[in-house]
Amino acid sequence: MQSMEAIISLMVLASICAYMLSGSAEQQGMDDSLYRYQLVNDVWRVLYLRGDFRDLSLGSGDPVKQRLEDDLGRIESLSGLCTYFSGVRATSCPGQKADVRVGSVTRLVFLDGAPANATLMVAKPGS
Amino acid sequence: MLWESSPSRSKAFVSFDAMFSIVPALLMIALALGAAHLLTERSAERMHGQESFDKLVSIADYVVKQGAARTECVGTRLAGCENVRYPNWLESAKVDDALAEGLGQRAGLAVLSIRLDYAGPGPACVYRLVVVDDRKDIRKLYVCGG
Repeated sequence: MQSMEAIISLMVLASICAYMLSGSAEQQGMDDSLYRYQLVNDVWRVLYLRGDFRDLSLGSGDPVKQRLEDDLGRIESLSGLCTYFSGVRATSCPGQKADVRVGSVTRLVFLDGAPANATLMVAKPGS
Repeated sequence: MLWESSPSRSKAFVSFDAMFSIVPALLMIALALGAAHLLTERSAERMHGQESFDKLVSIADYVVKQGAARTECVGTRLAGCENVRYPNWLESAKVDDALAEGLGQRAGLAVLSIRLDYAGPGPACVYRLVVVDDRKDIRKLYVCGG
């Protein structure tokens, strides 16, 4: 009888463990970390290919910065992704809170003729 | 004696006791097997979904970096020129059904469509941001399939 009780206890324990494991596996969802990284790099490459970092200046009236902001707006309208450019002080979603962070990359750009680090952060906008 | 039992009666009681223990044990085994089956099924579904998604991501990356990427001959006529590829800069003429067909066969996907601006048929889609042709318009490249 004692071994029978032990078997039953073991099975109950195993069932609880399996249930908890299945719950945690369900919560994990799909791994899209590589895809998110590629999307962030896409934003960077698109801006680079369009020449948005050439002769970039921090001045608010700078035509290159205006073009960069226009392109960020175009990317947002196409993909729904908000882009925040620290260092260059440009964003496609001014005043909006980013809820779901997609990813970020840091690159060296020339700002007012001097090299400076700029971090490009891409996120899905908050509601 | 009132409770004097015969060996056969005692045996019957032992079997009865064992039966009451075995029934819940069997029920639990059935429950555990059912749960294991369900878990295996869900896990297989999730793995299949992940595999298809990873394939689409890889195909999209190949198309963006090589398959439909713009190539230019850089160099001089004397020194010889070298083909240079520009990732994320696509030639719209290269994004056609033949490209999708070839890549779909190699990846073992039943359905694969690669299109600019709008999603094609397929149970899952990924998109990439690209610039296209000489005008360098910002567009979306959709890779759909499964």
